[in-house]
Amino acid sequence: MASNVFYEGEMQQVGGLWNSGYEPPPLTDEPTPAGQRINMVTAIRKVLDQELESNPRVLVFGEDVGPKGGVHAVTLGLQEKFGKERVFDTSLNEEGIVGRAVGMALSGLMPVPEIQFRKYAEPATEQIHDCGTMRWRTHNRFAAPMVLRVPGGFFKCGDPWHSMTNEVEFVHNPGWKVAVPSNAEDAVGLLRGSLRGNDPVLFFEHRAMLDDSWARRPWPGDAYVLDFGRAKKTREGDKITIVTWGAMVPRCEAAAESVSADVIDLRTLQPWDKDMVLDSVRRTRRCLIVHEDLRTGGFGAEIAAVVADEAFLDLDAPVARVTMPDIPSPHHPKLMEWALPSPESIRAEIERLMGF
Amino acid sequence: MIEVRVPDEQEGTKAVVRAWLRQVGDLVFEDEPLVELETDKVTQEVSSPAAGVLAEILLDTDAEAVPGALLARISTDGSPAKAAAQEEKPAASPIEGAADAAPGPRPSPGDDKETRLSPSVRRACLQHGIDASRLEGTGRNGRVTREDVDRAIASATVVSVGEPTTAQPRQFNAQDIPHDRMRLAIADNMARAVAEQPHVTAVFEADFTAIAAHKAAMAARGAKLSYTAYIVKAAAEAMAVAPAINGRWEKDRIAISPTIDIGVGTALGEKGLVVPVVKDVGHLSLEEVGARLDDLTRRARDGKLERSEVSGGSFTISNHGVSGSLLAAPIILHQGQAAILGVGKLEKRVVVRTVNGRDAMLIHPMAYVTLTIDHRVVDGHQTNAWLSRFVEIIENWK
Repeated sequence: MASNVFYEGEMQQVGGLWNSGYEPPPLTDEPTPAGQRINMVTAIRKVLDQELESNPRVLVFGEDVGPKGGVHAVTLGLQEKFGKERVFDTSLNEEGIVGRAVGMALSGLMPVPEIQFRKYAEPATEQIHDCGTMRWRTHNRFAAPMVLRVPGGFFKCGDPWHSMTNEVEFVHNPGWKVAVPSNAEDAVGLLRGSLRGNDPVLFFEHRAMLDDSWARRPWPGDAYVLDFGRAKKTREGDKITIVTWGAMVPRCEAAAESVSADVIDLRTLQPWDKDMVLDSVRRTRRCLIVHEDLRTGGFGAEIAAVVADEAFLDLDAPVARVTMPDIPSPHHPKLMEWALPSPESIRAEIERLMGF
Repeated sequence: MIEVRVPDEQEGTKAVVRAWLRQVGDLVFEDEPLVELETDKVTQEVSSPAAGVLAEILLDTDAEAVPGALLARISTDGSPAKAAAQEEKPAASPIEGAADAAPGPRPSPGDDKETRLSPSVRRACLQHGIDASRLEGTGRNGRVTREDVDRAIASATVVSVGEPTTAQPRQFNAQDIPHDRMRLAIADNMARAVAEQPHVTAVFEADFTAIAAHKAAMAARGAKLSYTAYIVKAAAEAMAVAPAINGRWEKDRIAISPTIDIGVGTALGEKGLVVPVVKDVGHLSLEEVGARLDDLTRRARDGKLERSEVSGGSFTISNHGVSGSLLAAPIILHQGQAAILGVGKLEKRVVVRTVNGRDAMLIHPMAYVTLTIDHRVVDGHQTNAWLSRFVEIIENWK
């Protein structure tokens, strides 16, 4: 009953690259950073470019991804290079975008549909859900691996549509892997692995991080693949564990300045690196979760519940969260910043827990 | 409203609320037992200070009962309805909903000091046998933090042996006996005594013929006395030849107790062991010692001893012979005491005595007596002098 939600090593009968004679180029899980720092937009574009080049089954499509190059410029120049057959605009119809991707995947292609902004994924809810459950409900006969790229989160100002995150919605769609990279290097590793993978992946591109200076990293190599479920400690310490992802990572780092803290960037939410979080909390005995998504039922609630359950006897302070309140993202930058976790509000909570 | 508080006399050991005998809204009489408190040594009842209605219970079952803490309130105007109404009255809050909005655990009810322990602190205290109530908390409102416990562990002189126990809660089998406070207190005392006090035991034999005769004569006069009463009295008298036996080890000296306060180990069957103390035995007659012992033993078995009656001894007697043991070398039960007397089973044995210049085999009531000493405090010289005198008093009782 619990098997075949994700690919477990036994190939499905229909659907996906790997059923159509795909031979992937060599890969490594060790990054070899070299050269100048590049931003996340450039890094993602470069991976798409390479995979389009090396794998004729890859197709990139969505609203304005063609001649315009996407509203975030991620696909800039790709149509020119690979042609309208492989990189193309669609109608303003998200259900159709994901629906046709399911058909392509079942036919052995690797579709890379783009949802222009996070909120626009809602019209495709049913297609997304049914894509995820396909392997399970057909007992591994059919599967539709794809990479659904979705930019979202705040950027300069907020609003109830483009700026929402709500990653948990996808975590709650069985069969989908969910990537939430905070920086260029992780984005490269996760995206390349997804494009060569055998499961549907929700690839969340945080709008504020696409050209953020903190998120710029040297190119990690043409073969670098980062497995899902591997978090990263961006700072290490003994007094508190701070669990976060996406655009909140640099804010947590700033808040933990001069504090002996483990700052853990989860990098993927489905699956998430429970072991690293629990090992850290068992050592620091304190756990703070910081996310941009709304508080009630946000993914932080899941992490808090697991920590309270599995590390109960090690805790010396409450498991706490700093999140957006349960409100839509406010438009004015000042109002938006009031609602978002800030280095100051994170710092205040760190101090509350350290002084508990 | 009349307040019911935890009695002040607690001598440092911890008490918890074991059971409420009356519920909110019940009519109560003056001096009627309201609640049972349990310490590691005794169970204590707290009675109602006045007649009225039990209006409010502030410390629930299993809550820690710190001396002076508010246990309950008694309404004296006698109306249960009114008492209940008062209970329902919501607490005034300066900002509506402010308490709900504040993150984190609710503050401790009643006083300002945070005495509750986090899971991590609880486990560390259990693993290392640390009494958290003795630690100075550096957390918010004086809370004992895990770092406080770690510091205490690091500064302790006793080196722990073996791996710390498992990180997760242990599984109990149906036949397992979970530790109660008394078992933990006994374990703690014994382990510390053995670790800190170098024990040596000397063995003598005592002839109880004279005592048996005296006891029978007293009984004939209507004064029933136990052998224990004689042993307590004789032990007190023997102190004169070796006062340090009535002393204790301190860092810079051997402190000799000004009074002879003798604890007598009293078994409570499966429930463990308590040591009620007969205070100032030196100034009591044999009959007074007997009466005190009867009273203490009876109340020990009923679990009705006061804290002050099980603490403050200067010397201890283990009457292990009453349950059949011929010879035992007891551990010094109360930390710091210099010695403990063990008395084996009294039984008729063949002894060789010189009668009219000739050796003869006679039948006498005999018992082995042992004195186990803390060798830091006294040496063999005082030990044997004390035992010689003790046996002499027993054998020549008049």
